[in-house]
Amino acid sequence: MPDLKTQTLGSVLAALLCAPACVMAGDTDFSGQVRGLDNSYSSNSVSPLAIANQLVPGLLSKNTQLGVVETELRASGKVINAVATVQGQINDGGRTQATAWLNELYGSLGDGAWQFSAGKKTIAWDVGYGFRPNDVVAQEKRRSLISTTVIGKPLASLDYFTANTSATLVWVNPGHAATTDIADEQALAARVYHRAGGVDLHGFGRYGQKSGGSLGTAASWVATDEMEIHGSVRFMQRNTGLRMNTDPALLQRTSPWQNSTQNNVVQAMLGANYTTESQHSFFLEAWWDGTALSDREWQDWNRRNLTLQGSVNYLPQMQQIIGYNLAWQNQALSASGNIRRKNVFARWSWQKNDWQPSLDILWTPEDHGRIITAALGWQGDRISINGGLRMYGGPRKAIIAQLPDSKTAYVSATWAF
Amino acid sequence: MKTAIHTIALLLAATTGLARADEVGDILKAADQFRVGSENMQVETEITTFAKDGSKEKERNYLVFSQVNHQSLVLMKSPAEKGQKVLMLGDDFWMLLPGSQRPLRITPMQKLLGDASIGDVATMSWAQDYTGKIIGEEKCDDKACVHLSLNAVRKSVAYQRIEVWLGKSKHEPIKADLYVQSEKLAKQARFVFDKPQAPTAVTEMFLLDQLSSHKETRVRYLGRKQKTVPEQWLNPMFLAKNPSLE
Repeated sequence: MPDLKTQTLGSVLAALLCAPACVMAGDTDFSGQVRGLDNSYSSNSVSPLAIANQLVPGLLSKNTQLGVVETELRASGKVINAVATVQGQINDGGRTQATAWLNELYGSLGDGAWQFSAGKKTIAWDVGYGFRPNDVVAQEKRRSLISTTVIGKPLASLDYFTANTSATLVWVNPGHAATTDIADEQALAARVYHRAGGVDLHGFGRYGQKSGGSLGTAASWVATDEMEIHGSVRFMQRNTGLRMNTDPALLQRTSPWQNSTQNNVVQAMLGANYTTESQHSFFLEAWWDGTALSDREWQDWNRRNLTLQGSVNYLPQMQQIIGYNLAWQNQALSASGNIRRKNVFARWSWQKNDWQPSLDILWTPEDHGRIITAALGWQGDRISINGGLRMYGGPRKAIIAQLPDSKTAYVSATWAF
Repeated sequence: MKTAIHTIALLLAATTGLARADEVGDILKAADQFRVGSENMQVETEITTFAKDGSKEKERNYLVFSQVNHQSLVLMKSPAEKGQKVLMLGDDFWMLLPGSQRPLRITPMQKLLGDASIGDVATMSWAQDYTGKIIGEEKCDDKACVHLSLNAVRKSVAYQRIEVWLGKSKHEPIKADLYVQSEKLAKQARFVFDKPQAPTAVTEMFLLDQLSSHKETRVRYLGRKQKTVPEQWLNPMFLAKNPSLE
């Protein structure tokens, strides 16, 4: 996350406060939120990271409690738009941290069919909820516990609109040097949208400095008064992600998880929303993510974990190196936005006056791993309160059951002004 | 001979029916004039929800661009909802949440969320969205009024049936019973005017929930003016592009 350091907090605030001065007189609009959040984490004692920490005490200093207070300020006008966040954190170790960042600061020109924007901006694409293969500009993290304002990217965009069609061309991360991180690479991205009656049709293209070309398409269709169906597919020429190196040695001196390029990768998603008259909503989405590690690679990962743990018995003098190698295994969990290639996500929620209870599950059919989240939200006139519990589980060999955390509980309160 | 009489009878019935449909359409247009004015309008609306004990519970502000051909754009203006937008193009709906930066297609059922549904503030035109018949003349609190039974011409409007009582001479709306698709009475509405003796415009509408909460909601029309929005504003993808549209 491109957080600015504490000393730049002043300049962020100055930028936000300066923005309205650039906005046409009389057109400025201010708003914001103050949010408080408390997260409580339960460590997973059977995770490779926990076992590595047993072998090398002090390797992992994990906090179990995190308190966050942040203020988000928004200013907008006809020409300039700005969003900035100032955040303070405190953990159970008593460590405090203050950061601030600009979510967005961009200018827009053009009131009619043509529009040009430049600056730091969020552009979110695609039709999915749990997974969005064609979200090729923002590349927003999905299924977070609390919905927070996305941090935009430096970009310049040109849009053309008619009543039913729009076309967008985006130059994202202009001037960035070549990077293996797709989110930060310089790229050209384009989207064409057309409304055909009850169906939204999208076409996407992207050319990245390092990752090469990709093409995608998506559609959303309101099939009945109660049901919406959506789908999305993307083909990528190249994708860079972490993969295990080919060195057969069990104990390695540096992390064996290195960036590697895959060719001809496919991502696809299909989903549906169903809402009843009494405001019960049911949601189901299934997706395939070719950028994630394959079933075979995860089997090798499990095997390597067991071998590393077993080697302590006959290589007790190598305990520390074994510990480091086990800790490096944790890097595989961030090889892709999705841990497993096959995913199914289901959610129920109910809107009853100011209350919204919800229950959802992310299930990985390849190994029967699951993430279950139960939540309750309340929305008042200006204040909203949300709380919930997320549990990670499944059979012992399921990758989700081996994540560093076994549970996360949270409560948050937001005051809007 | 029998066939000819039958044909004439059918033609007469059809003609009478058409005349009645025209009459109902004209009456509804007159009622709409009191509620929203002409077809392309910008309406500032304040919605206040009251608890059962009469205390104020919630207040929301909306800016509604109501356009011809069942097209409406609703901008949420209250702090808790600021940046949210709802676009209604006939039977198609989109919602934009400010955090998401992308318009989401929603179903007509999802549009019903909330104490005063989006339909209450955005489905403005009875003449465009309903057909019906005159039930007869009745008394409404010592005032002569006409009772009409209206049925939606589209499935996606907030209320599938409306029983409405209008002033006999000017056709100003006095009260209405609003039914959802399952034929349940959802809300009862009554209307308040700028000049009670010689009304020219509805200034407030009170909605009493009959389904679950039994709360009362007041819809106040703070300002109305004629406005035809550019066609781009009614493109769903335009919503994410432009935080402020006023």
